[in-house]
Amino acid sequence: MKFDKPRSLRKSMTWVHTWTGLPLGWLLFAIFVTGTLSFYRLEITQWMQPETQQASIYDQGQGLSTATKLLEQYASDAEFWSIGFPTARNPLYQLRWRAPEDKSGPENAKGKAKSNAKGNANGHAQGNGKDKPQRGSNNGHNATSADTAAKKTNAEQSQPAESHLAKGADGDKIKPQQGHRGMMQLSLDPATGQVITPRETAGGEFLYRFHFQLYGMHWSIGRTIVAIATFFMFTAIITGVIIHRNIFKDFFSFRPRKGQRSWLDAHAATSVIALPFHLILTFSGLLFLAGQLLPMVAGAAYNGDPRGFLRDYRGFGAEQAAPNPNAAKLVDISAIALDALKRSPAGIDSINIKRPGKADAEISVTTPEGSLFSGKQSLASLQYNGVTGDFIPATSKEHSAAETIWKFMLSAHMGLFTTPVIRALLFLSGVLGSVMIASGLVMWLVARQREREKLGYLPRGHRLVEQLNVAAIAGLLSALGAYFWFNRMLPADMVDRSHWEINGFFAVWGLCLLHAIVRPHLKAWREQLSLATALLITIPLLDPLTGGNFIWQNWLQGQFAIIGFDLTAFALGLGLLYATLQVKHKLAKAEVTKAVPPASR
Amino acid sequence: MIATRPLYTPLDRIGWLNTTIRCVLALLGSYANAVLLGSVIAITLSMPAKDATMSAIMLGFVVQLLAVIWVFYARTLIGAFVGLALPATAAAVVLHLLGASL
Repeated sequence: MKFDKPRSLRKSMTWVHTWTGLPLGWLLFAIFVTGTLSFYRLEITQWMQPETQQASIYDQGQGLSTATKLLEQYASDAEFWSIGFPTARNPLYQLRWRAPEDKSGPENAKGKAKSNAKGNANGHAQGNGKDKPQRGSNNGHNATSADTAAKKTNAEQSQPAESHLAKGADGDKIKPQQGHRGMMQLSLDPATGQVITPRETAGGEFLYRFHFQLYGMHWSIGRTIVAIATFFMFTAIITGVIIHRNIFKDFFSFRPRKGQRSWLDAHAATSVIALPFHLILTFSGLLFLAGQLLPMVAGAAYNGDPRGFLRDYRGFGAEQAAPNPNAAKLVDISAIALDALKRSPAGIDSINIKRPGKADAEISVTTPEGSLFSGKQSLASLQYNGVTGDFIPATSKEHSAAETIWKFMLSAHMGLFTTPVIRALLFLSGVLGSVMIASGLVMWLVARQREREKLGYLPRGHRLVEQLNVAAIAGLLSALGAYFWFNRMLPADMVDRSHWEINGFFAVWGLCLLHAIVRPHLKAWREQLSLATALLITIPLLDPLTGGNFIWQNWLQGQFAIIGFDLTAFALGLGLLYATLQVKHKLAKAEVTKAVPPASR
Repeated sequence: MIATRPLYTPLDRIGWLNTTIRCVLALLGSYANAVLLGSVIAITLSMPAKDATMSAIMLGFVVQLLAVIWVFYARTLIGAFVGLALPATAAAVVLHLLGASL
């Protein structure tokens, strides 16, 4: 490609497409894979805590009254309570509360990212009712965070008064677990109200956090790196559309076993089929990280302070009344739940209580119903007075066109308001996106095959791409498989367990990089793909042998999320098996014909 | 921006230098344009600050993308540079006149 000669737009854009795709393609693959898995992060966390699978599901019997009693007992001085109701995606009651001294923790600094932080401006608990789904997505369900071990709390030391509450899954003690931002949490069996203490795991939460802020570095650095990579992705997608000739023809044509042509077909097909998904997800990814990428623009209309925009965006700008310190008895939560069920036939997602036990207590009931174009706020639809129990009709909010587009983008990215089918389609589109990136990376080498043959040797840059391709694609998938294996193999009561899961993940990934560096290209592919295949295809067997159930047992118990996990891992394993066999075939052929330069084999 | 007689500089003729300069222009110039034009949009749009800012951020990313495409599409380095410098300068002047603090 020479920029000093007259050239077509298409040729220029091909160059841009290639060189925005390659340098960050390895990172983008990891972001896409972990982000795709994040659509099911609650289910992944559930799989990684087999203790939760022993609970009876879909039975809303004892849970709510027990939940209220437990909260009064353990969190009487908390400024915020949340009771998450059992859903198809997580069959347990989730209790969360925040003790008063935790309100200004350093975690609040995360307020920069638009989607997943509360405003640090008014560090109190306000807005908590509104952004409960947010909180759910941040904490995962029962996920202890990557950076917090389950800590002993004051609550633990006081013996529970009522004996039937005291029977935790692990014996006599109820151990609230510490989640993100000083939130304490407990899980309840919905039928019996019994406390379930799952093992500590980094869960789906680790994968979710990795996909937008990486790991092992300050969050703002991680998010900036991801934001830059996202912009490269955005550029690569648009230039890809520009250089693409026959969008409809390629939709229906796939020519297998034709070398470069087949790779191009695979790359184009996976891109074109889910193009709207790729575009919306990438662009909304930019919007999520706009605070990192364009802080000056965010602050321009707010005298240069981007946080002004964030406050305004979350509706925290309004004057807050001073908290009322007088005590007052909290209204009966069950009555609120009954009333809310009458108003919301779709059910209840969670009940959130601000300043419980105070005269100005507020209760908000979030429902699964909401508008795709209004973002999370629209979920918090039912408000009640916390003392009298009076229903407070919501003031309807009109959105501008800009806000509608913005919120649609973000809602789509987070998979809000999705039915199971749409969630599955989002997941499949994510898989297609991952294949698109992987095939693009491989194509860089395939397209330069002739160049190498002409040269008669393997240039250092090509070798580097070979090594990174293997480690970033097959290595990452191996590390993912290993992550799930570590989850089940490490002792359930291990100290700092979630750290060791993550360490295991990165150790395997690092070893795969070393392996890719020392082994010849195709052999490295074959060996790492075999490893990933073995680790993933055996998941349906690993599950019942290490605390879970066989698929048919899960079927009888209605644990469809777990079945989904097992079968998805198995299907991914089958796909990898196919890839392994293809590489094996190619390796055998190369050994016979010796057509490929030895170094690249 | 399409000149009838392209203005080639000596820098254009050195292949690797040409490509390198375009990459630098694309990285820095596109970002500068996104920030400056985005800020102008955020301040001047006649809607509430929140909505203007959302529009500005979304359009800012589009500006950044178009700037990258322009840098590699432009026939000559001068063209690439001028195409970035003109809107950026104009936006900077507007911001200065408005007394904006970024």
